[in-house]
Amino acid sequence: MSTSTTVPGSETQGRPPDQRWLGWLLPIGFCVVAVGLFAGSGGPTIPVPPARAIEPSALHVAPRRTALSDPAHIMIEGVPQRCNGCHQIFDSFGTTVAARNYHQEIRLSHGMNDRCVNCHSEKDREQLELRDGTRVPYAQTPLLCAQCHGTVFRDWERGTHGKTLGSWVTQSEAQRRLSCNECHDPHSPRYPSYEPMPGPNTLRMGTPLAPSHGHSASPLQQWFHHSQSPTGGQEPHHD
Amino acid sequence: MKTYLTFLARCFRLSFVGDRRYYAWMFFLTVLTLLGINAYCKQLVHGLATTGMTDQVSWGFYIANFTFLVGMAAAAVMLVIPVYIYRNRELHDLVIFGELFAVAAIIMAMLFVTVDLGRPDRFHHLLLRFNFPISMLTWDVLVLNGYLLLNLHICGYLIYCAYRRRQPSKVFYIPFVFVAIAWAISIHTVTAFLYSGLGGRPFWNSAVVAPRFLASAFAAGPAFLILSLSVLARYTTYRVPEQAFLTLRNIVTIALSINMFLLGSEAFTEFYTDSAHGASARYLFLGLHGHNALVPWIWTAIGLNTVALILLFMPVSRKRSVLQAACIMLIVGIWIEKGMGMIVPAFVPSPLGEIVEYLPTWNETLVTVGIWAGGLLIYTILVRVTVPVLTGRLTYDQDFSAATGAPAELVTNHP
Amino acid sequence: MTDVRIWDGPSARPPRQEPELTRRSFLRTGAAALGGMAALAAALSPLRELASDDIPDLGQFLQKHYKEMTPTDMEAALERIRRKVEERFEVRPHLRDIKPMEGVEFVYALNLSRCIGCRKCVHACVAENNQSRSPEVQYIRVIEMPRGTLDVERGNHHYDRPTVPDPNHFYLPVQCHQCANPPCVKVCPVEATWQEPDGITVIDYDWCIGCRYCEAACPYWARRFNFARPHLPKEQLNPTMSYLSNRPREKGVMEKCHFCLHRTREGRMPACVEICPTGARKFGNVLDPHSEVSQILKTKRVFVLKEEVGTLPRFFYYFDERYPNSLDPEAVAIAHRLKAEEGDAYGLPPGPDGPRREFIAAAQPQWWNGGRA
Repeated sequence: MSTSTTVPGSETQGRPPDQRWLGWLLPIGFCVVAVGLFAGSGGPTIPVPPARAIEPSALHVAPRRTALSDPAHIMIEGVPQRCNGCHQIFDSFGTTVAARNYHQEIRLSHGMNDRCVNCHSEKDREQLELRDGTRVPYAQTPLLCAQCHGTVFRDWERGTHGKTLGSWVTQSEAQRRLSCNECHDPHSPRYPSYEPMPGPNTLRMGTPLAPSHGHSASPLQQWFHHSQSPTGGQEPHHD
Repeated sequence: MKTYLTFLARCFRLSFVGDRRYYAWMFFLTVLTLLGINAYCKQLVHGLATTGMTDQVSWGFYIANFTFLVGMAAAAVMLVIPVYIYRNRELHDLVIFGELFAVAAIIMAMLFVTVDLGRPDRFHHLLLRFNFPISMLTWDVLVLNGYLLLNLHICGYLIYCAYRRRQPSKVFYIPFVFVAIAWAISIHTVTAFLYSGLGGRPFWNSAVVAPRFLASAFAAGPAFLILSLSVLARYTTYRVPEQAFLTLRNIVTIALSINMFLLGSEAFTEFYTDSAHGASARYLFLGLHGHNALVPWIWTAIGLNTVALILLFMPVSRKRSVLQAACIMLIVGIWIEKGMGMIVPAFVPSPLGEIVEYLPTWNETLVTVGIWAGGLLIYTILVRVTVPVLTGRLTYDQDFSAATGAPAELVTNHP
Repeated sequence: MTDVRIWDGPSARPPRQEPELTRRSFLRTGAAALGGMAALAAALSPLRELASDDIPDLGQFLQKHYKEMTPTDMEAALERIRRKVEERFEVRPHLRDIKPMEGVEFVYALNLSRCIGCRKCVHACVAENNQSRSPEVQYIRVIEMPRGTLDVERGNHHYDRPTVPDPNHFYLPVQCHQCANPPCVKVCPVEATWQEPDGITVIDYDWCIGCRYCEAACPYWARRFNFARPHLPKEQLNPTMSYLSNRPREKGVMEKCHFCLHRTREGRMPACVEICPTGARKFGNVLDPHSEVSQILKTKRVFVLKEEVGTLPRFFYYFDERYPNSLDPEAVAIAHRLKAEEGDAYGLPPGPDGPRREFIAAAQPQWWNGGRA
């Protein structure tokens, strides 16, 4: 390693006249940089995903369905009809399952509970009735449901099942705990499917990659497979 | 007082004086700094969305460089310890260059934190409600500023004494030197605790982070000093004793070995346990579910570090050029390993298992380059001023031109 | 140790003449300085585009920390925010600073048996809390989980099906867990985020410096950063807002779920609870033994996410017991057996001793007394 004796500054004096122009390189260089910076002062491109329109009606707060009023009615050819409108006139052909066929407006899909008279009074179809013959007002339909769905009823009474609107304050007048039939259709109580609202679309999220779970039958094997071998096919996200 | 002001004025003036290479180098750094300032202004206008960072990967290139630079700053003591504890006279004068670099590195580190802030206009909130001692970040603010002041004092005092041709009074610097040694360890430990204290990030939540940080810092820092002393030896009258290079080489070799060992320990724990907590490590080294942006980075780092270590262990690295090559390799390797390789994987996958990858954007890279250029600019000026003082050409009783004049007679100064 | 060789410079040196400043070199130096200034100005030129409200006015600059503000200070701050909102959205907001209620500690419970993954909560939250629509900021993430695991890494954040729920998955919504031992509060260097007496961890958006340490510290990925200036269409602004919750945010600050404190501190339900079509989301005061959440904690087997990190979340998940319904294979098997044994079961009148009783009894717990408790 040679130790040069050159020192910064040793050339500032005594430079030959033909190299004086070198001193002008600095100001010229700065001016070039200034022009370049002004020219390139456009904003950087940020891949901001555009806002997505959300239908306000999708966010309307209300019970999922309106329970039938008392007395019950059904729509027949677009006209509301009370049960007794027909049942006072016609005999109801006993209580067999075949009777359902006359109610084309009612889709009865309640599992094993497939008889009208399990809930409706055999004598007066507009009335709800427990198995022991006790009449249940429409406002107290949970009692009727509770005959079969005991654990759910227990949870509903405690507030651990079902939906509560208005207020979280237990004693509040505003608090309203929805009844069974404000969410579930008694004739077809299963919850319907929903179309999910849009998924996340965050900044620089890249192409989302659904996790793969291998092809083995055993869930444990699937997990092992999943965690061990990276499954390719998706290019990594670049800015 | 007047003498001191004259000293400062002369230093300022001296930093604008140099030969063509000096001007070219300074112009180059200035332009890069300006580019960085320009990019940062764009970031101020458009927000941190100009960076590649996201809610998923909320820290990136800036914090990676910050971590690396805190290590570089801490490494200055690896020169101080042999001199003041083991009384290694060969390195005595070089301590000042190490501490000057610590000053520059701390300034860069603080700049990196500043550009990472979303609201730099609220910086004063740190003074008004300082969450000390709960937040590790407040510890970091304290220790970094303290370390900056300590180093400014030590090298400022020694240089000014040389300017005044006075024997430095031990009382004024020896205690500070010993405080600085402990302090240097603390700055990097606190920075490591910044990460390892987070239970929600298993990749960082490891006791070995702090030792790893120290080991890698004590390899990269002295390696950088080897390079900068080589430049000094080559381009200035300042004579660097050969022993200095050999001592530094030993330090680098040992520190790098320890660092590789700790990295291996970490990798073993992650991969042999193979728990869900190892997902980040898998992402870093092997890629996860087809995402593998960091895989080439980390293997480059490991490759560079391994080659550097092999070279350092071999006698051939006594040769300056080989030593320099090894130093460059290990600096780059450690820069990747404890920068991108330490910060980014902790965020991938996110705590909720989402994988969003991170790569720095162009604007972010420019800001980073700008800060590095600015830091090197500061370091160059500090060295530019210090060399004439230490070689006795810039002293209070001489005319300013002595410092810029031909140094022929000074070369004989060292036996 | 004291021997410092480099100080032994030559003791005296002949003074030299300062080089004369020639006209040429003066010109050069001046030109270089001018050029440097021009380059610096050019570098700074993007700052021209700073929006007027990117630069804090004096009032905002001097605004105190939330906890240090007197009522007068707070009123001034609120008025400043109202003015700003009015400038930006052309609506006079109903902005207040709502304090926590006495004797209330909020807890959230989520019934994973009931969540169908419809993401209504996600978007109701965005609409309520004035989050940025672009880039998108959402507080709630719904993860579609394969059955048989609770490892979120196996979940899918981006499920896109024609309809939900998918029978092979369950849905795990995650938002701020309002931890009792919040790591985010611990790490904040400027105390811009803290836990309120009612258990809600809040952020003073005017105090946050945007270092994102809290975002790194949160094990539930509950915190969001405004990387760009939040974009919120005027007509979508919710004008009912409070200082610590849903007032419009600025660029460069953190935000997160605050249990809709502007609603819940006045007795109302959070937006996500109110919109949930299945009643999977439950919210209330855990200090009230009759509240729904107290009942859930008492009677359900609840769990929290990542219990091992010691954050003590106030957000509990639970599953229901198995109900006798059409999805229950055991109950369905009994029904089929009964039908097969009894032949034309449809012909028989139902009664207390009919097949239905046995079916119900088989599917109910031992203590069940027919629902007439």
